[in-house]
Amino acid sequence: MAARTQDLPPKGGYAPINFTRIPAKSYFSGYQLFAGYAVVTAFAGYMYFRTYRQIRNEEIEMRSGQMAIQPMLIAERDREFLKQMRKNRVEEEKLMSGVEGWEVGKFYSEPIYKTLPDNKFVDPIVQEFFAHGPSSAFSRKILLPLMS
Amino acid sequence: MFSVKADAAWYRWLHLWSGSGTRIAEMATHFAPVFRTPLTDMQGGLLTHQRARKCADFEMRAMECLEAYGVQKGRTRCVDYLDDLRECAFQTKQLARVSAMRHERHRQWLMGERSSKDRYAPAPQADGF
Repeated sequence: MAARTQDLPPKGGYAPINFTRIPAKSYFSGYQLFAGYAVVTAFAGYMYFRTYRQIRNEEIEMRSGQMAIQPMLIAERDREFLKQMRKNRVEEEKLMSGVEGWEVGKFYSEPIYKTLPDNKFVDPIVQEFFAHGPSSAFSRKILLPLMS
Repeated sequence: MFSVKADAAWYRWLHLWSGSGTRIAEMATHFAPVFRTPLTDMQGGLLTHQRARKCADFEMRAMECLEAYGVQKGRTRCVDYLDDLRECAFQTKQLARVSAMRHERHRQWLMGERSSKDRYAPAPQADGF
C-alpha cells in the first residue's frame, strides 16, 4: 500500500489575498446630480408652459369661432326643421288624399290635442319627422346613434 | 285590408292600439299611493311631468281641473284634459298617425298605385330635428 498523502498547503503558506474594495467610478457627485436634475426640469418646464400657452390660445380661438357661428348653425337647423315640416305636410296631403275620413294634421278627423286651439303648432315626434322617408334613414340616423 | 273603402273604424283601431300597446293609454298617468304618509308625500314631486317642457302645462290643467271637481266627478268632467295629458305622455295618436301613413304608403305600393321609384319621399336631414 502507498504511503498516505494529505492535501497540505504549500511550503511557506499561501500568498496574501487582496480584499481591498474597488468602488465604482462615480462621474458626478451628489450635488452635481441634483443640479443636473434641476437644470433639465427647468428647461422642460419652460418648454411645457410655452406649449401650454400655445394650446390654450388655440383652444380659445376655436371656442371663439364656434361661439361666433353657433347662432347661425342653430338658425339653419331651425330653418331646415321648418322646411321639412312643410314638406311633410305636403307629402301627407298627397299621400292620404284617397283615404276617407283623413284630415291632414289629425288622426282620422280627431285632432291630436283636444283642448288646444287648432292652429297651435304641435311639436312633432321624431317618428313623424321621418315618417315619409325610407325607414333606413330613421334607423341609421336616429335609432342607432341614440342607442350607442 | 287592401281596399281603401274598408271600414275606417277598424283602421283607427288598428293604428291606435297596435302602435303603442293596448291598455297604456287607458291607464292613469299618475299612480297615487293607497295610504298617504309623510314619507310618500316627500316623494310625490319626483313623479310629475313638471320638469319636462312638453307635458307640464297639460298636467297642470288636468290637476287643477281634478282639484276643482274631485277625482270621481273629475273623471267624467275633465276627461278632455286628462286625455290630452295622456296623449302628451304616451303620444298614442301621433304614433298611430305615423303608422297609418306608412300603412297607406305600403298599400299603395303593393297595389301598384305608387311606383317603386317614388315609394318614399327623400329622407329628411338628420340634424334638422
